[in-house]
Amino acid sequence: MIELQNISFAYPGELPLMQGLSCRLRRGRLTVLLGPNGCGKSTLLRLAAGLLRPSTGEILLDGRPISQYKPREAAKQVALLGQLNNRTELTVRQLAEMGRYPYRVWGRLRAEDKLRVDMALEQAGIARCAERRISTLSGGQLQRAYIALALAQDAAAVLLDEPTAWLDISARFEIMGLLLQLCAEGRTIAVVMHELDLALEFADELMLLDGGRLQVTGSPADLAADGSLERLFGIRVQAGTAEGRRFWAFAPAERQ
Amino acid sequence: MGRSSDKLIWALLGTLLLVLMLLGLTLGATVLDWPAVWQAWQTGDTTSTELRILLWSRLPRVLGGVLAGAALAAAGVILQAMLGNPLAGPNVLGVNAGAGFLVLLAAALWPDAGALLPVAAFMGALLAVGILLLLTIRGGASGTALVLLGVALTTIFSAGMDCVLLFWPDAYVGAASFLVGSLAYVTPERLCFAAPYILLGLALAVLLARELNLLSLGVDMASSLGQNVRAVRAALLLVAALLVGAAVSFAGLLSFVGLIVPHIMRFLLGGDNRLLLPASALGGAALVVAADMLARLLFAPYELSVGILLAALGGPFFIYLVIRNRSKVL
Repeated sequence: MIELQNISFAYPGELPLMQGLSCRLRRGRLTVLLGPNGCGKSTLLRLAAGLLRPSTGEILLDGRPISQYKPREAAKQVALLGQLNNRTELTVRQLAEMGRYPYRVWGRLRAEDKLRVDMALEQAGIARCAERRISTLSGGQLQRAYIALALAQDAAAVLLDEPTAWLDISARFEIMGLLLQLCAEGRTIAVVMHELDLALEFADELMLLDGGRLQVTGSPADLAADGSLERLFGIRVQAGTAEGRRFWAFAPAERQ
Repeated sequence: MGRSSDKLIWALLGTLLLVLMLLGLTLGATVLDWPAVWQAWQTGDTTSTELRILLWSRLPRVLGGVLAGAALAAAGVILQAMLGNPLAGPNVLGVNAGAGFLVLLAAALWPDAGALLPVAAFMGALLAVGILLLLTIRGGASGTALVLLGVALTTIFSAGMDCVLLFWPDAYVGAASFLVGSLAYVTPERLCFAAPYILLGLALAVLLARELNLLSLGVDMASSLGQNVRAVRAALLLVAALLVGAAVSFAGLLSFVGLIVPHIMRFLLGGDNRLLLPASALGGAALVVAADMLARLLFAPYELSVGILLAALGGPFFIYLVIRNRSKVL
C-alpha cells in the first residue's frame, strides 16, 4: 500500500501544485485518478513512486517512508509507467529485461531473471512479439510491452499514466482487463486517465483531483450518485442497465 | 535479430576494417612496396623511404582514422541515447566546435605543450555538452530546440576559433584543415597523446552501455527502475566529451561520423547499446579510414581533407533524417 500524508508540492519556480493532499493507494484495488488537465495527477504518481520529494508531508510505502528506501529497493516495490519511449530499437524482450535492473548483480541476468522475464512476457500477453522491436509495435502492444517490464520488475504497485490514451476501444478494454487481473493478484494498481467511461467501468475506487487537492474519493457508483463527477466535469452522468449489465451515459450539463 | 546474424555482422565489420586499414596503408601518392618495407625492417635500415613512409606517414594516418572514427561514432551513440534524439551528434550539437575552440586557444597560448591539446579539447567538449545538458535537463528537448541550440553553440565557438586564428595566425599547423577535419597533420606524437584517452573512453562507454540502455527509455523510467540518473548522466557526459575531445585534438572538426554511423548500426543491429557501442566504434573507424583513403586518391596528386568528403556524405544524410523524423521530432 502507498499512503500519501498531507503532501504539498511545487515544481521549482512555480506555484504550489498540491497543498495538504492525503490519499491511499490500496493493495488489490484498481484506483483511477481523475481530474482536469494540470491538476497534478501525473505529479501524484511521480511522488508516489518516489521520483519527486514533497515539500511537506510524508509518503509511506508499506508503512515506511519512501525516502528511507534506496532507489533500487523502492524499484522492487513500485513500478511507474509514465511517458513511454515508443521509438527505441530495443526488442520487447530487451525492454522487459530492464525490469530486472534492480535485482541484478554485476549487470548479469541470472537464470531466475530470465525465467521472470519469460513469465512477465507471457502474462502481459506479448510473448509472441518478444523479438520484435518496440518501434514497430501498435499502441496496445506497446502498453503490454511496458506492462511486461513492470511485471518483470515484480513490483507490488504499478502506477500508469494514461495507459489507454491513443488506443482503439477494444485495445482499451484489453489493457483495462489486464490491469484488473494484476489487481486480482493483490497488486496495487493506480491509473491516471481521462476516459471517464473506462474509469467508471473498471475502477474499484475513483479519486477526483482539482486545484491541488483530493476533492473526493469513493466507488464509481457512489461518486456518480452523489453528483461529484457532475460537479467536477460539469456534465451529467447517468447509470443504466441493459441485459443485466450496468452501463454509463454522459451528457452536457445544460442539456436535459 | 538472432545471435548468428549478429556474429556475421561482427565478422563483416572486423574484416572490413582490417581490409580498409591495409588498403589505407598501401595506397596513396605512392603505392607502398611491402616487400621493400619488410626487407628494410629485417635489416634495420631506418633510411629506407618505404619504411619511413609507412611509419611516419601512413601508419599514424590510418591509426588516427581508426581512433577518431571509433571515438566520434561511440560518442554519437551516447549522445543520441542520452538526449533521446536521433538528430543528436557531436558536430550537430556544437561539441566538436567546443573542443576545436579550446584546442586552437591552447595551441596559441602554449605552443610547445602538445600534451595539453587533448586535455583542452576535452574541456571544450565538456563545456559544450554541459551547456546542452543544463539547458535541456528538464523533460528533454524537442528536436528543433536541440538542433537550434547546437547551431548557436557552433556559431559561438566558430567565432571563437576565427578570433584565435586572427590573432595567432600560426597557432596551429594546418589550421585550415583542422577546421574541416583532416588526418593530413596527424603525427605519431599527437596520436600518442590522444590514444590513451580514446581507449579509456571506449572502454568506459562499453561498461556504461547497460546504463545507457536504461537511460534511453527516459529519465523517469530510469529513475523508477532505481538508476542513479544524475551520476549516470554525468559519467556518460564525461565519456562523450573525452571521446570527442581526444578525436578533435588531432583530427580536427570531423563532421557527421557520430551521426551517420550510429544510425546505420542501429538499423542493422537494433537498439541494444551493449552491441551498438562496439559495433559503431568499428563502423566509425572503417568509415573514416575509407573516406580518408578516397580523399587521398580521388584527385591525386591533390589531396582533399577527409572532413570535406565526410561532410559531403553527412550533409545529405542529415537532411534525410530531418525529413524522415519530421512528424516525430521536429
